[in-house]
Amino acid sequence: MSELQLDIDGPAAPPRANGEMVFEHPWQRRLFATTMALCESEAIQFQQFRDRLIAEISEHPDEYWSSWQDALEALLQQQQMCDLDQLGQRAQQFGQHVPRS
Amino acid sequence: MTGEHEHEHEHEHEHDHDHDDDPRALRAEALEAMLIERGLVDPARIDRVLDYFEHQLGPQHGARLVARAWTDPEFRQTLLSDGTGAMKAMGLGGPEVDHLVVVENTDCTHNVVVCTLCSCYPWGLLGLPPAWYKSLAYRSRVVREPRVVLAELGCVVADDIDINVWDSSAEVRYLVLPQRPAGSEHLDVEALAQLVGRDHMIGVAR
Repeated sequence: MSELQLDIDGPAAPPRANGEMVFEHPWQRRLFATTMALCESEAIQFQQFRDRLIAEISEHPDEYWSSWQDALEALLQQQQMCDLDQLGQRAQQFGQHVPRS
Repeated sequence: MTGEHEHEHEHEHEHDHDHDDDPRALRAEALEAMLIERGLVDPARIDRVLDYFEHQLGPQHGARLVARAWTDPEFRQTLLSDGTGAMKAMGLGGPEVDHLVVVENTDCTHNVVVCTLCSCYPWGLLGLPPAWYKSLAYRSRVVREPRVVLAELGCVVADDIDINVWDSSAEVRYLVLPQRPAGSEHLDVEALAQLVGRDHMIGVAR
């Protein structure tokens, strides 16, 4: 990656410590990488995502990664890249899947 | 750094096995799967982004320079006289570090880096900048009253130690070479690098 598109201050700046991103759960890490990959390939525009992220965070200031998820889903739906009903069904299917151990 | 990092990994391990009762984890997983299936995102690209943010972006590259300088006197001299060359010789660089100047802390001198104009910062060596680095309070006050600002950041510099403030610019990025901690003589270069944090190399820790 040659160009970094991340805020380092203000509401959209991600949690970080000692120069590294801080995630509380693995899904946040994957979601972040998926978003940045979408931006890098210009499937979505970072600026548009950022505007939505800031709007979400203003409503849920203590839930950074949940706001990130809601912002991404909303943007993808608006751009007809994802149907949220289908997404909900797919997530439900994943939840019903019992891993064999 | 180490504590947070270890905790983070423990956390990850734990949740890898019980993610299926977290609706947000399931939704994130479903979204990634759907985007991949529709060819809207390349899984290899996702992995590259992850690798970059987890392994390439962070203070570890700067810490490698510091640790080597502590153990290799010849490299230390090169690093101080030609930071860019020394950095490139180690295969380092990356975003925002075209021209590097390394300044050394001694018993008599402490160095601290700021960007008074904006937020110039050696991302490729130190990772993501802290939010306060860009704050107007830090940018303006650290020049005027560095000792006070450093103390507020938890770095008390004795009165008999001079403080040099280095102002980054579009052309030059600065990196502080901290003093090797006492009692670290038995450590090898990898172990030494673990002792070096972002704040040491900005100069807000000593």
